[in-house]
Amino acid sequence: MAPITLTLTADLRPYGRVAADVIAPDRMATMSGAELAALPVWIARGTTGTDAGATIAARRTLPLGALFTIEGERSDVVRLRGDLRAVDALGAGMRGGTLIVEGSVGDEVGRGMAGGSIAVEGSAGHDAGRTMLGGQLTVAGDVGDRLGGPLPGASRGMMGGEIFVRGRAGREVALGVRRGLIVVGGDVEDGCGQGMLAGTVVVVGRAGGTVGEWSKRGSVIAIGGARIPPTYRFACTYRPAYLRLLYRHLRTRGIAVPEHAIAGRYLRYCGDMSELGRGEILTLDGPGDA
Amino acid sequence: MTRLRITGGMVHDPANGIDGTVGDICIENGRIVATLPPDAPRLDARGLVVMPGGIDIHAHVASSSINQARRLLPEDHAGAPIAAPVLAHDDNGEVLIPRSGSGGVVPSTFTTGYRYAGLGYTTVFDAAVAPVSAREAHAQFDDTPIVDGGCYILMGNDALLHRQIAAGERERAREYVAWLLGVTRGYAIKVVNPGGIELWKRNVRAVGSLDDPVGDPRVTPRAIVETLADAATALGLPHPVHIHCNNLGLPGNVALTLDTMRALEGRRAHFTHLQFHAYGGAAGKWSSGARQITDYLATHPEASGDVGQVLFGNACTVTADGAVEYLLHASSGRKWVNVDVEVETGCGVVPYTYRDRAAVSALQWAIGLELFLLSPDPWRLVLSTDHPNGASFLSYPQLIRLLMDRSYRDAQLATVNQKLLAGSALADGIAREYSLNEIAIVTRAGPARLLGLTTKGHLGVGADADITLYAPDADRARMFETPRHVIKGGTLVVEEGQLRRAPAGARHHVRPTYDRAIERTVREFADRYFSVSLENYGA
Repeated sequence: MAPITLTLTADLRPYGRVAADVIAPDRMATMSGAELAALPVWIARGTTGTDAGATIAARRTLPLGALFTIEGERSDVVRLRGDLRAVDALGAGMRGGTLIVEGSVGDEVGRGMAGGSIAVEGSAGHDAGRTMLGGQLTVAGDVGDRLGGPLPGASRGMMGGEIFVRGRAGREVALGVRRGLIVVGGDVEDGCGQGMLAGTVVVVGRAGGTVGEWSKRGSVIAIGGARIPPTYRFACTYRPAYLRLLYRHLRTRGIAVPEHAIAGRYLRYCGDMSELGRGEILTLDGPGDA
Repeated sequence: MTRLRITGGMVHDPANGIDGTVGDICIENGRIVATLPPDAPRLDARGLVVMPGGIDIHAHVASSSINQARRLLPEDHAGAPIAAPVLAHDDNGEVLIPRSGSGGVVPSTFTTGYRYAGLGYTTVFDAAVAPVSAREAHAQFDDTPIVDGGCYILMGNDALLHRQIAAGERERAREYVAWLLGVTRGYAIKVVNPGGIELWKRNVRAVGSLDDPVGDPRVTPRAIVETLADAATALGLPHPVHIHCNNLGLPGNVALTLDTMRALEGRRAHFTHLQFHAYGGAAGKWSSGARQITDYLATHPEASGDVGQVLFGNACTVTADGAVEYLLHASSGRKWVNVDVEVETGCGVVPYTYRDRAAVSALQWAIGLELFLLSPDPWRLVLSTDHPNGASFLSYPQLIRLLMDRSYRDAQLATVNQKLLAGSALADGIAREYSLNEIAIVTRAGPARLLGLTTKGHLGVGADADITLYAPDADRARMFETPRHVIKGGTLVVEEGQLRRAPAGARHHVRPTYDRAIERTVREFADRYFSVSLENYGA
């Protein structure tokens, strides 16, 4: 079964951003070419010019076929091409299948996904993997803010699955994460692991400030070091066996974990003591490679 | 639709003493009339139950606090997107623009209107509007289609009112109340935790007695409820003072509730969500105080109430009572909002889940049912869940089934946590089952009478044509969940179970006359203490 290939051919500038949450391989797996072409894509501005008498709802969407050239049908492997930086919510809510993006994507890639895999060969915008439940999201380049985070104002972020980012990440990585694994190959900005409820974050580079504030449980492993908040308390220096297992797994996912991180000892800090205090921050004892 | 004859339905119109009699209802120009010419359009209601449209005497649907709750519950909204309904063209051929929204325990405004109408409700009162945010409440009602609305205005912790009471000026307070109702386009006086919110602002967590001083020895919960009850009577308001007593949700609070009732003995007063105020015992040893409340109501025809039933599942507590929300946040660990509404009142919001496995939730559920089942007079103890505090208004059908179907009730009772139920009336077994007529009283005729709505809650000549038609079903929850037809002001809004039209609802408000001299007092006070100018105040 040949994969479905969607190539963005339209100029998106008149529409502002578009929300393509209909692009999800598990749901596309049973659709014919005509059904695919008719899927509604939400546009931020502009009109279709054919909306006389239509409801307001109809005025704000365009059919997928008007924006993308569609090749193939009835496949749970979907390949996307073109400049997709203004296309948001790719793979939202997907439960299976494979989504491959040859380039960079907009915000909210993999929002609420529960299964399957997304591989972004470029970079991703803000809110990648927001409220993710399961599956795998891989980004070869960098990501924006709030990787694996919650809806604005909600108390829980990502609740399961794995996110691998080979580049850098912005602010508030893993905000409110409840379960799952987030790995960033480069540095992250401030606020990594804030409000975590559980789950694991590995930062191969350096974490910024305000790491793990207000977290109840959960682990932040900052190989390249981090500014430890005053509400965390030094506990011990040790060499956790599970990290070596975890790092080997990460290497199979294309994350370059340096050898000294595997062999090294870690400083363990407990916190956030202004909350439940069962969370931890681990940093490599001695200089990292960052 | 200017004329319609509803033919052959079983009419339940308790206000006019009609209990299931088969008959016709004639509608002309939005009102019920005695006769229509024989060629008038007909709606075949044979086999259907015909009742007046439902009236919710106490809910939170349009206020700044309910918007705080909406803001606090993004998960709830993301999990329940609601598509816009497919509406018919109205009679003038205009397209009614349908609105999408979100559901959950606190639905968005348009969805709230659609869903109330979909349940056969045609009038809803928002029970707690801070005067300073009345304009926002009316704006929300403007976006809540179909149902008629109205606001109760929060006054029990108003700093100017307290000053007047402290100065011994109860008569002047009446003028202020009249001014306030007019400027906010309010319908009734609401008292939440009289004096208790002001004390909470001073770090007092609970009210000890009705005679606790609130700043000044002359300002006490007793003085506040007396002043406002007398004001409602003197101003001839259609609804008496609407009281949320002190110490909501605390064990042993039934004593203070009864004290408040006795303090107002001989005066008309409505005591709201009594379930939350009917707890005996002490911390860790909660018990039911429902019988004490119903015994009092039995001998005091001037007192009325609504129940504030709790049903198991997700809810969101939304109240002006900031103190109780602090306790709820501290005990549940859920996220919260607490607001000091300047010199007027407070506000708190905590999402909450009532679990049948939890002892206190089970007791609350049982106390609500006891109030209903021991009630001496359905006309004076009417149905509410204090939406969304005890449960969403969408659970009314389930509540009706609990009241009408003893076997269903007993089966559910057997599955809930029994720890605190020993010796309660419900655990001992209550055989009472509500009849359809009693349901029509507690959801329609009773609220209308308590609210002084003379053209609502009944189907007599001259009444508003707000009518709900149900297909009888042994499963009463299913019956009340999906009315076959709903008519609002003569417009067929729900047709064959589908929402088809969404006209705007009306607004009920009062404008009592007052001595203009009070305006100077208010202006001087406002210039000193308000964060908004008086020109921007009110609705």
